[in-house]
Amino acid sequence: MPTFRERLRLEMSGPAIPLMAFGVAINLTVGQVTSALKIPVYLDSIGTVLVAVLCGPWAAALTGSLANILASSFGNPATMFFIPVVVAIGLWTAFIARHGWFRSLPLVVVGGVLQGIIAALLSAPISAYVFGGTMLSGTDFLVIFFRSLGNDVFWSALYQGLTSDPIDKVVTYVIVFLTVRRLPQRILTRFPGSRSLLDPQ
Amino acid sequence: MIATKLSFVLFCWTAAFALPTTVQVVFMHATFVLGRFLPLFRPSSAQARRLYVRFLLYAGLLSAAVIILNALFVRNGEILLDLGVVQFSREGVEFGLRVSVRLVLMSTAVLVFFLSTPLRDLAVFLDSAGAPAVLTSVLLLSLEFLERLPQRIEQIFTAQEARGAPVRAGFIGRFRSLFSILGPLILSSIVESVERSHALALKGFPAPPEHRIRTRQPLTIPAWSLIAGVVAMIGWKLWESF
Amino acid sequence: MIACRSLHVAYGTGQPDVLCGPSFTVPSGSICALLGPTGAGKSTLLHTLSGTLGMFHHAAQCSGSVIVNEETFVPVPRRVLFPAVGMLMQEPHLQFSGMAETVEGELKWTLDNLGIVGGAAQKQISVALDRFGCSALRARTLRSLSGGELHRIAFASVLVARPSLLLLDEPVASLDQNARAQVARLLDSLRGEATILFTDSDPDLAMRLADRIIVLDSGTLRLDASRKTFLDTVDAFGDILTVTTWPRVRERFAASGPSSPTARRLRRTLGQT
Repeated sequence: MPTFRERLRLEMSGPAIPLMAFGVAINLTVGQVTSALKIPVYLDSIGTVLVAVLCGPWAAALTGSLANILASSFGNPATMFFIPVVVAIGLWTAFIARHGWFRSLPLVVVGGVLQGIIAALLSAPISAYVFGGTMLSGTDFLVIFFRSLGNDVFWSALYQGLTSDPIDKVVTYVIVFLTVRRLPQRILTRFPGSRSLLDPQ
Repeated sequence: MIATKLSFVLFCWTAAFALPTTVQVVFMHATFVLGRFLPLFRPSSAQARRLYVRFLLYAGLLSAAVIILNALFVRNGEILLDLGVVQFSREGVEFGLRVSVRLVLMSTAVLVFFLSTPLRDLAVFLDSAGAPAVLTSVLLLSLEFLERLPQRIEQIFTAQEARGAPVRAGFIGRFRSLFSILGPLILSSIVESVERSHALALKGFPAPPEHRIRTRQPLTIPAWSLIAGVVAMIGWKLWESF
Repeated sequence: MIACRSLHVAYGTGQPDVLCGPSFTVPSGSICALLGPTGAGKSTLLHTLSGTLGMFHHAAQCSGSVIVNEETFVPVPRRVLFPAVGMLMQEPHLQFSGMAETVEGELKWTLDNLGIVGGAAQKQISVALDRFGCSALRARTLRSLSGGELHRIAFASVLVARPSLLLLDEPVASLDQNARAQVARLLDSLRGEATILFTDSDPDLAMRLADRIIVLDSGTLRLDASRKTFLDTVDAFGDILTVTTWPRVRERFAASGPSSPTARRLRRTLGQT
C-alpha cells in the first residue's frame, strides 16, 4: 500500500506538472471564450476539474488555489477568499472520478449538480460574512431578490449559489467528460487518474 | 524583502479578525499609503499603479454597496433613516462597515504585496525558502502558458468560425460552439503537457535534492516585529474569549 | 554506443507493435541517420533509447534489449538517461523548460539540475552558445527570439549538458536550406565527441553526414548499412522515402570517371577516400 507521500509524488509527477500549469492558465483565460460567446457561465474551475480527473485531488487543489492566487495578483484580490471552495471542487471531483463517475454522462451530470451544491454551501459564508452579500457582480441581483423576501444575508447568498453554481458545474463537468473521452489511450494512460476513466475489463 | 511583505499581509489578515473595526481602519489607511509607494518597488509600475487605482475605485463602490444593502435589509434595532418606502438600520450600517473595512484591509494588503512583487521573484523566493519544486515549477509554467493561451484561444475561435461553428448565432448555437472551442483547447493542452513532461525529464527535472540550492535569507527586524504582532493579536483575542 | 536487439514496443496490451523487432548497432562517436516515413516508429525508438518511454508509458509492452553507453537494459530503460543522453525534440518551443525568461537562464536551468553552478556553469553556457554562434543572444528573452534562433538555442540547451549520446527528432524539418546547412556543419563538428542518432523522412541530410543509415518502415528494419550501400539500393525505398534525386546521382557517379570532380565529390560525401 503506497504511503500518502508516495501517492502525492505519483499524482504530481510526469505530465501532471505541465497539466496543472495549463489548468491554472485555462481557469484564468476561459472567461475570454464565455464572454466572446456571450454565455452566462463562468467555467472558471474547468482547469481544476480536468486536473482532478486526470491526476488526482491534491494536484487539483493546488491548481485551483494557484489560479485564485494568480487572479489576486492580477488586480482581483477578492478571489483569494474563495480558495477553500476551489480546493473542495478539486477534492470532490477527484473523489467521484476515482469511483468511475466520469465513465458515464448521467453520473457526470449528477456529479456536477452535487458539486454545485457543495460549492454553494462553501461560498455562502464567504460571500455573506467576508463580502457582506455583494461582490458587484451579476449574481448580486439574485442575492438582493432573496434578501427582499426576508432571508438573512447567509441564506440569500446560499440560495443564489444553489441557483447558479449547479448549472455552471454541470456544464464544466460535461465539457471535461466529452473532451477526455476523445483522448487516444496512448496519451490518457500517461496520467495517474486514467485507470478510473478506462472501461473495466 | 518578500518575507517582510508576506509578514505584513499576515499581520493585516490577523488584524482584520482580531482587532476592533476602528483600529482596522488605521491599518487600512496604512496599506493605502503603502500602495502610493508602489513605483519604488517595481520598474514596470505604470500598470501596477493603474491596477491599484482601479482596485481602490472598486473597493470604494463595493464598500458603499455593502453598507447600503445591509442597512436596507437588516431590519433589527434602531432605524437611522426612514424614507417611508425604505429604512436604513443602525445594525445594518454597522455590519456593513465592519465587513467592508475587513474586506478592504485584507484585499489591499494582498494587492499591494502582489503589485510590488514580480511573480518570478516570488517563485525564486519560494524555491530558496524550501517550497516543493512542484509549486514553483507550476507557478512559473503557468505564467508562460498565460501568455500563450489567449492567442491560442483566438486561433481556435477563428478556425472554428471558419468551419461554420455558430459563434455569433442564437444562444443554442453559441452554447454548442462552446464545446467546439474548449474541446480543442483542452485536448491540445493535454497533448502538450505530455510533450513538455518529456522535455523537462530529458533535462533532469526534477533535480535531485542534493542539487537544489537553497540560500535562505534571515528574516529582517520589521518581519520579526510583524510576526510578533500577529502572535500578540492572536494571544489577545484568545485571552479575550476566555 | 547504442544498440537494440529484437526490440518490440507496443503502447498497451492488445495494441499493435509500433517497433517490430529491429536490431542494430551505432558505434560510439559516429553519426547515424534513422530514416522512414511518418508512423514508421522513429520517434518511438528515440523515446525508448532516451528512457522517456519506459519511464512514462507504464502500460507499454516491451521486449528485447537496449544498450546505451555500455549499459544494458532489458527490455528498455525505465528512467531518463540524463545527462548521458540528450534529446532534441521536433518542436523547439516545447524543448524549453518554461521556467526561465532569458537564453542564459534557460541553459543555466539545465545545469542547475546537474548541480553545476557558478563559474563552471557560466563557462559551459559560453561554450554551448559559442558553438551555435549565439553568444549575442545570451541576455535576450526567449520570447524575443525568431524561429531560427529558437531552434539554435533549443539545441544549445541540450548540448550544454554535454551528453555523450545525442538523439535528434527531425532536426531540420522546419528549416530552410541555409539553416539546414548550418545544422549539418554543427553535427559534423560533433562527430567523435558524441554518438549521434537523428531521424528524418528525407535522405538528403543523411547522405551528407551519416556514417550509417537505418531505414525503418512500420516498425520493421529494412536497412542498416553504410551510405554507399543505401545509395546503391536507394530505388528500393522509393515507396517510403523521397529519393527522386538520388538514383540520378548514383547514375552520374557510375557514369563519371573515377577521378572526375563528380566522383571525387560523391566519394567525399560517402566518406570514401
